[in-house]
Amino acid sequence: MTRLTFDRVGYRHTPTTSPILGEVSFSLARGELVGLFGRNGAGKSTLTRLAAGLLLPTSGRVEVAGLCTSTRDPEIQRRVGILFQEADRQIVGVTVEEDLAFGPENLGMEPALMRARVRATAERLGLGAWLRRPVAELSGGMRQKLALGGVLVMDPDFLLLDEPTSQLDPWARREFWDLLLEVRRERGLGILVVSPRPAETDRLERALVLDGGRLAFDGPLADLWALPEPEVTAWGVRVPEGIRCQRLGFVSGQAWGLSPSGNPQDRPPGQEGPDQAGGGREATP
Amino acid sequence: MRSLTYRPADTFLYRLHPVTKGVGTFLWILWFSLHPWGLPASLAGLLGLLLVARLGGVPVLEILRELRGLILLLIVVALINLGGEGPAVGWRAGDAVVRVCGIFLWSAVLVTISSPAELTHFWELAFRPLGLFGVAAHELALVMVIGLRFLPVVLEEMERIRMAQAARGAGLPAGAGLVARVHHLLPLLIPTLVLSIHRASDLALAMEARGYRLSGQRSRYHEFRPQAGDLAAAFLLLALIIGTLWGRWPAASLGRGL
Repeated sequence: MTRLTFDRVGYRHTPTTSPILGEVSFSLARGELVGLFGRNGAGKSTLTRLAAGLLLPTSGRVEVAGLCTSTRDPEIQRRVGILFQEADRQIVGVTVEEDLAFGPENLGMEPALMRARVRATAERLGLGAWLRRPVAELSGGMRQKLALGGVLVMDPDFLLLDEPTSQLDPWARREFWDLLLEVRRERGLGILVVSPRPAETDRLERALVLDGGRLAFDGPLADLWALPEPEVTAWGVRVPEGIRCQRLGFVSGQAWGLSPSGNPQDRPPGQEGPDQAGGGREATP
Repeated sequence: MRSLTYRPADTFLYRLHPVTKGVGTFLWILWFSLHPWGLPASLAGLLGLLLVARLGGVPVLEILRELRGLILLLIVVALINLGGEGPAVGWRAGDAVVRVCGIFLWSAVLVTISSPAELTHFWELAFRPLGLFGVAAHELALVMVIGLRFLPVVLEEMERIRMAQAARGAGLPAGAGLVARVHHLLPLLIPTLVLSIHRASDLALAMEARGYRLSGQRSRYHEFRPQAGDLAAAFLLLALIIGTLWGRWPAASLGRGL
């Protein structure tokens, strides 16, 4: 199976500075949906840049489908797509179609195939009617979709999302996640989400936690929530209210209008309760 | 200058080949700079240009509004020409102002009717001779296109910083003079520059993540082929420029010079 593998990876900016990552090993398979947690400065962004081949490890190996990133093979950029926090900063083209075509052009894709891919991707993301329109006319949510399209059009195996919904309102956030999960189902993408919001964690299957540049946890999400809360919180992970309610004895979560997953979207109609998503700080449509 | 950006449409002007648009603009600027027939011809040229642009689906009024940004330059041009000697100084100053307006307007029309891909294609061809000196034509063209893409964004950020400063009492007082206005711009420039550098760094990373390599072999999404309209436009422009050169340096005087 196609995998993205970190083998005892270390990284430091210069030989004299302290390491940002040390001896990190894990593997991401196609089709997996994994969350990457950790405090600010834990090395999350560095890890995603190493996975995309934008940085090279100072020790260890990063491999994408058997290709070592230190070879600088353009195939690595094709196989690993990365979406940064601010969509607007990664849009190169002035019009939607020109931005979607930027990646395939760089790969030297045959023009007829490229046009077909650009059209299909735009249609899939609901941007078909906007192909010739300037990017400046798109809303924040649409720009995020365009940024995602710019990655998907290259037909990657893995998608790295660096806080992808931090700039979106709750409605756009939900729409983005629904779209992402559909695309994952269709293409069997392996997805690594950096710092997912507590309300989004119920969609994840596995969690990685970075602490001080080292991998402190790698396992199923349920195992992470089973750990003592102070330990999890010390890693910078916010436990969703739904999980906390379950721990406190509201096993089904019904007393709070929650589904067992803790997702308030599944709240039975008419039931009112505190907003469970994100510790009561986030609204969920 | 916010409205100076590509506005997609499907008219005869938009359908011209990028090279026709680019070379046409160059020839038109040449005509405005060289023609010897004074103010009436400049005015006729300007009106003709506006008519062609209007028929070609270009939002002419919006472009004309952008002339406000050139007022200072136009005043300086007029004053320099008014300071000259000889008869009809006023006419000469008016002619100079109209010529500057004509050059600006057609350049604005070029930006409005050309997609970034078309501009890249034209600039790449235009810069190709620089390859003899080791300059990468594609990269230079891409830099210019990215500049166009981010100009409105940078202006927007500058406006946001200005408002943030004004909200903290650092606004420009009403009736401030030119010097005060220039002085007021300086505190805006540093944060704008810092933000632009951050943005450029993020963009470079994103481009690399999408497979951009300086030495990479690229394919093209757009394929441009010349059509009948290009031939007609080329013929008209060439006739115009030959006529102008003939009017300015008639064959007789050229012969005498020899």
